[in-house]
Amino acid sequence: MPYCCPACGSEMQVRSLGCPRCDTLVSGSFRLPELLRLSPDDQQFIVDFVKCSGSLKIMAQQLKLSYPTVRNLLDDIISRIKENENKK
Amino acid sequence: MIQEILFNPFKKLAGSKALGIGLAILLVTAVIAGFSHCHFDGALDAHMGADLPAWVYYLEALIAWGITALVFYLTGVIFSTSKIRLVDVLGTTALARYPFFFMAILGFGMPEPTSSVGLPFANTYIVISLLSVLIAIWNIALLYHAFSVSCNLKKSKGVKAFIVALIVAEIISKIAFYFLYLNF
Repeated sequence: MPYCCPACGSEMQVRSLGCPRCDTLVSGSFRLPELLRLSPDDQQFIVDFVKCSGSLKIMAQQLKLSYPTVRNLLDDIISRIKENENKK
Repeated sequence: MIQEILFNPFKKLAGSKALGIGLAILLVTAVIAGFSHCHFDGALDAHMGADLPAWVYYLEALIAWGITALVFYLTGVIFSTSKIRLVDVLGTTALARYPFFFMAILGFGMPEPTSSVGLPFANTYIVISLLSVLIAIWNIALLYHAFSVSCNLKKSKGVKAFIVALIVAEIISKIAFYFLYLNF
């Protein structure tokens, strides 16, 4: 799912939501949840991190990266989340 | 891949594993340096010099690496927002000194200044000096990546912190070596 505008780079918003069962359409301007405002790579990292029970050591083993490299990736995501929060 | 091994092996190797490999390389380098009379008398320094007892070469390696690692760690604690681990800084900094292994070997090729002075001497001296400069640049690139990965300091903030840390480490190590060499 695109999370930023391909034309100007601004944050995308949901304009409508539809029910696949009864075709009800809810229109408006909904802000994307915190996690969906991250890049697909960041989202995948968070999913993998949760699957590893939040263990950076296991993450490092699975990704075949060193512990500080994985910790740095997590810290970079944390700083991006904080940046997004400050944009509110 | 080769570029990663040459300049940033820390992306995949850090912590106790890097520390073990790094210390082994430091030890082997010190043994070779003992035979080639190559002295690592500073955070970045390598000089050909007098034949000193074997333990001096081990102590030189320990002081140069230890001071650099400790200064990097303290710089990381001050400037980084990440929770950095001492073992990562010690390990990556030890491993970053592996180009000095080649510097120690180069020491065997260095002509004795008193034995022959002339064109062959000058040519050999120039070639070894140029290779030494390349090794020093390689070492600085490795040290930067060791610092950047282990302390999570990147971009302009990381570069500035690295330059300051390296200068401080060089000054402290030079003072330490001054007192070490007072005994000889």
